[in-house]
Amino acid sequence: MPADQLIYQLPATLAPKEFKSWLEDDHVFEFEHSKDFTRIYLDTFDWRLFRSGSVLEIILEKGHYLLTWRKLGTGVILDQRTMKSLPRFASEFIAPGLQHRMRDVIGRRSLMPQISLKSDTRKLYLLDGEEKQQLRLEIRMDRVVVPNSTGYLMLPTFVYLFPYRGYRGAYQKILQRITASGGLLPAQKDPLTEAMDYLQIEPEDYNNRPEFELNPDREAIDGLKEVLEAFRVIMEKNIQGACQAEDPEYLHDFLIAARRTQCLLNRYPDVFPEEALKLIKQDFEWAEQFASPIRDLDIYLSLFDEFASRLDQAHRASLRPLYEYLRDQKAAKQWQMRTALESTRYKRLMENWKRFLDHKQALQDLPEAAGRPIREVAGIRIADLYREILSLGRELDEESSAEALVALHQTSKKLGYHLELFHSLFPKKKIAWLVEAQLSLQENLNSFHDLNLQHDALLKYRQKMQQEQRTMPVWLETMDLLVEDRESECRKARLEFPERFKKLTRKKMRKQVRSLLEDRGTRGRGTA
Amino acid sequence: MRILATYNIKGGVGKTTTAVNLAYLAAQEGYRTLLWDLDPQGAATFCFRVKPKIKGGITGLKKRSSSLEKAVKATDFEGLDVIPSDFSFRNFDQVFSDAKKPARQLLKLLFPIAREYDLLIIDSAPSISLASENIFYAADALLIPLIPTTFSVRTYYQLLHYFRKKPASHLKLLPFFSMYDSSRLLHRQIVGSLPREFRGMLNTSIPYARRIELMGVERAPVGHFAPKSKSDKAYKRLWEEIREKVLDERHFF
Repeated sequence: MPADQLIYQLPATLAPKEFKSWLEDDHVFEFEHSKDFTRIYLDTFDWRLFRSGSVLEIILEKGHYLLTWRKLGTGVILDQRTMKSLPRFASEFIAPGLQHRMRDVIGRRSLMPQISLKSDTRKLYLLDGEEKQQLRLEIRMDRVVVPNSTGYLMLPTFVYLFPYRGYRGAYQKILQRITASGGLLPAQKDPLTEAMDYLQIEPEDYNNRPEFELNPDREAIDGLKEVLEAFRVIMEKNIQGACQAEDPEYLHDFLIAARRTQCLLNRYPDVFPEEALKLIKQDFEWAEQFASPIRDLDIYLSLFDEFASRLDQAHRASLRPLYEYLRDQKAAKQWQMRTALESTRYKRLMENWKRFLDHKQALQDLPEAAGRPIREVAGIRIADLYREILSLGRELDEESSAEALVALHQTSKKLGYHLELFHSLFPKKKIAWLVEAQLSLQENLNSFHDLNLQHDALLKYRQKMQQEQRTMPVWLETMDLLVEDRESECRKARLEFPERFKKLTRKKMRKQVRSLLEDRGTRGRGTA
Repeated sequence: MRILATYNIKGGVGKTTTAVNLAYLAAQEGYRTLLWDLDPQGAATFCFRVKPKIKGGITGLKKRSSSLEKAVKATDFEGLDVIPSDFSFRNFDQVFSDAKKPARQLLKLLFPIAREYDLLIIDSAPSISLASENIFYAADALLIPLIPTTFSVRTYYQLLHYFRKKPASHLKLLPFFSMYDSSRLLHRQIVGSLPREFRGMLNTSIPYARRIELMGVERAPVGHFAPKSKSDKAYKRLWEEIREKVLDERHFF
């Protein structure tokens, strides 16, 4: 497909009918007129396709959905195909190639209709002597549907060219005619951008892991509140999607924010007024206990392709009962979570939380560290967590229990949160070492933790199966194979651990961490 | 890209109509599909109104790896392209016989375009030759239309005999009945007994139907000019069976 401009704007002075007749003067076209059908622009709630510079539009035509994925602005086609049903997730694109490309852009987010247009489209197919189509040209007169109203807004008339592979000559001929003789100019704005402007839609800058550029000398209470407010907003944006289980990413982002919030609340008793936050902290814990198990189940469910790849054909079919069991479990837990997160208790929690974040407390009413610079206070926590990791990690050996590794995983995660949120407070060349070493360790501990959880869940499920009368021997065999596979993967993760941990314990690293504190004039709590 | 090929040693058994209709149905379902008309008669090419000509012919394809990419033509159906037939395809064996690993040449030619498509359907010429050996090497499955007659079934035995001598473990053989006329006793008898003998025999039979013959007049797949007809429904069932057996990797059970 040529990398050319394929969308042109029809001058307001030229009526579509005149333009069509003018084109037909020189060439043989087959004509098709479709009126008042709906064209929908699909995107994720955070506009991932738009942000990646592409547009996904879909129309229902002759009982099939015609999907066009094109570049924003030029209209160059990235993919165009018919589909039987409207896809919601990348996994629902039946062809593997498109599935992977779409997943690279939208991840596990669901697609939703963002903008609807009522279209009056005139299609012209350029034909050769065999009546074979060589190019399609569409004159689109679209009206933007104004949400929650019966009104429409008329867009400018656009002319779209759809060159056919292997018929480049025909495309060049028509392009020459419409631009040189017809005077059509490339569309200044993509029709989607035009529709967004009409509707005053501006894709907000959503990021589930916001970057913070805090002033190092800012009072700790204010700096922490800024971070916490960003997470409060993320929770608020994702709560509805998480409750309605629209896609697993809502819950994922909700939990990212909730876990970081809890971590900060628990780690800064010398900044936050304990009494005022007691109830809020309890309620956050209460809410998280409903959300976390579903995230784990989402992960298990996403692992089935991997499970399948570890099994031979004979055992693969035995995954179905496990899949159904997990899916049913998820449905039950989803219902519990929805009840909890739509309850008065949760609403009250979020109201109180917002009130707390919005309210400017007098420093004399707050604990002693609240007024100290955020750089100093965060630095102490980083050093504390670092020291805690070293102490937990040094106690580990090959015989250590999985629980000990999991405890280290939890502490390392907390250090990871701190580095992610506060790294900008410290000189890059000093903190980069720690960030890199922590990430490397975290990756290893995450693997171990996930595999260990999967192992336990599979064992639990196997026991449950064994108690049931209708269980077939091959199902148990399959569970045994998977349990064994997880055990072996866990062992591999354990073997990698010493090397990764060593990076954190190096003398140079300890010196770097110590210097982080010294630079800020914070002493007294020690480091490694 | 998965590769299916319609194949039979015998001619006139419904290879081209199967290839054209399956390619259309695959594209309708969202697979980026390419149909390669390897039969020099060019009937599949004719069905899509494409000119049966490739610049440089089969020799050009051998000389320049980009030639195949340039030969691809879009059809009038979204998601479905075709590599047209060329009369020089009759010289396939002659052109590639002196190549290093002559039976792998077809796959080599496909390499530059493999990433662009989810599915390639090859409509092959009726013979057993170097061209067929190339197809056997490249394809994931052979779709073998069999008319329920003694002669047609005999050619399938010949093919099985060939694979006993030259096994191709990667290749699925998917025979199915084509041009089945339920009013004929012999057809009914063979359709009733044969599937028990052959493993992998598909359940769907394609009927002997006027609509299928009309493809040459309409120059389009049955599903386009006679949707929901008996023939269209039969091809849809056949496509679903094939998709399940060869393409549905994403389903882990």
